[in-house]
Amino acid sequence: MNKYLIVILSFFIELSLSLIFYKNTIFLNTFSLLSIYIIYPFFKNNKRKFFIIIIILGFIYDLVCSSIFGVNLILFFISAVIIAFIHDNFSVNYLNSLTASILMLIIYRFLTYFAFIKVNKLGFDFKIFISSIYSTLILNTCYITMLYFLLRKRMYKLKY
Amino acid sequence: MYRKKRKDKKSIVIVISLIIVLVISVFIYIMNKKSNLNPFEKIIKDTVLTIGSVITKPVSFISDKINESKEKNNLYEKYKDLEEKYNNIKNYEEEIDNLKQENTELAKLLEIQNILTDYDYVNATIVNREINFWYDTFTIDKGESSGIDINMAVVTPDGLLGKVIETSNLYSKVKLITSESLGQKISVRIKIADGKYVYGLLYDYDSDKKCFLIEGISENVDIPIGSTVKTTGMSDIFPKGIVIGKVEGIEKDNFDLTKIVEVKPSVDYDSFSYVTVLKRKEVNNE
Repeated sequence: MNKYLIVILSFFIELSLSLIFYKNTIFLNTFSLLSIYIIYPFFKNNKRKFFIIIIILGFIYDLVCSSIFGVNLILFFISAVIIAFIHDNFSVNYLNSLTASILMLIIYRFLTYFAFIKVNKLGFDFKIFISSIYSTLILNTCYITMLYFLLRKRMYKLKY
Repeated sequence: MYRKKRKDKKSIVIVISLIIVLVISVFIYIMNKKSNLNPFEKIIKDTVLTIGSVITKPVSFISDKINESKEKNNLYEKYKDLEEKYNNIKNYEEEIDNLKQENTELAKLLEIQNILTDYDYVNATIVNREINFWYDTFTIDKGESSGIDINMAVVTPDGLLGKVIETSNLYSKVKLITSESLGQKISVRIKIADGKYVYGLLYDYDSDKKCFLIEGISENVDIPIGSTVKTTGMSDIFPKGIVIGKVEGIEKDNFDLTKIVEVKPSVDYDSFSYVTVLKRKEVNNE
């Protein structure tokens, strides 16, 4: 499967699903973010290109989805740095991929929530923060599992 | 060797912490900075959302069909209900015509502007609502080409939703009144008896209690629980008479001088798909 297609499809699936599953359900997703994790091995020899794609994705994501311009651009970039670190230092297997993507999700949610409460001068609500994480776990776990097993062979080949 | 490794680890942690602090500072700067879309951004946004809406269509079609089949179960009851309403419509139509005429004449006499009859309605569908900003913003499928402009009020049949904050040619972004960063207070009135109103300012949304807060109401005024709260029209954005909700509770402020009124919103901010933008009618000078 084409690496660019994975990102584009993930982005549009995320866009579509956000309209079907309303908030307070447990079927929320951040597929665009997960797609970054999966495509990294395809850019192993061209990291610059990888980061450029992440910046473009973050820019479009902000333009279309977020109410504050620049947030996702920066967050996606940070996620990309973390992804590069994980991929370069750990082996590619299902457990690592799942753990890394969940960790990434928590960091992403934490930074978004932290920035949001800072700007709006709100108090930190642990319940809201936790619910924003667990509500996204089911779909994201399914998606990363599906992508991992679809691209497993190619990921191994590219890494070793 | 071991020491060097430990030193390296320490410096990595320091660098990462610095980056995070820097990033959060940049966040806050960006988040507080208001900007409109430039033509290049407008084109990108229009293109991406158009492709997105095409992809979403089959999914929406299926979910609509599922809802449709659910609704079919109550078809007979709904038919009976509608039949009864239809029989009363003719009486209402005549009454509405008379009221409209009276309203226009009175508005002219009192030089009141910003009432609902001054507006055209543009119906729109929500095309995007981001999880992280659920109670903050959403995007609708009408933009500048449909005459939508910044600061137009957005409503549903149940009540006030928010205002337009950003437009591209085909789409617009709406800021909900539940948003912490709405940037303005809304002038409202509470009906306490027939023909008697109390005026106040809607200044905040309590996301824990899920209610709006109204300030500026004298301690001596009695406000019945369940009173309806509507906009006053004392602003360029929100016309008069749009429902906000019903009074749910009353508290005193910190100095015991005024009352803080808690209002339960009439709109369910979690589940709405279609909205109406209130577009001011163009004045015909001929």
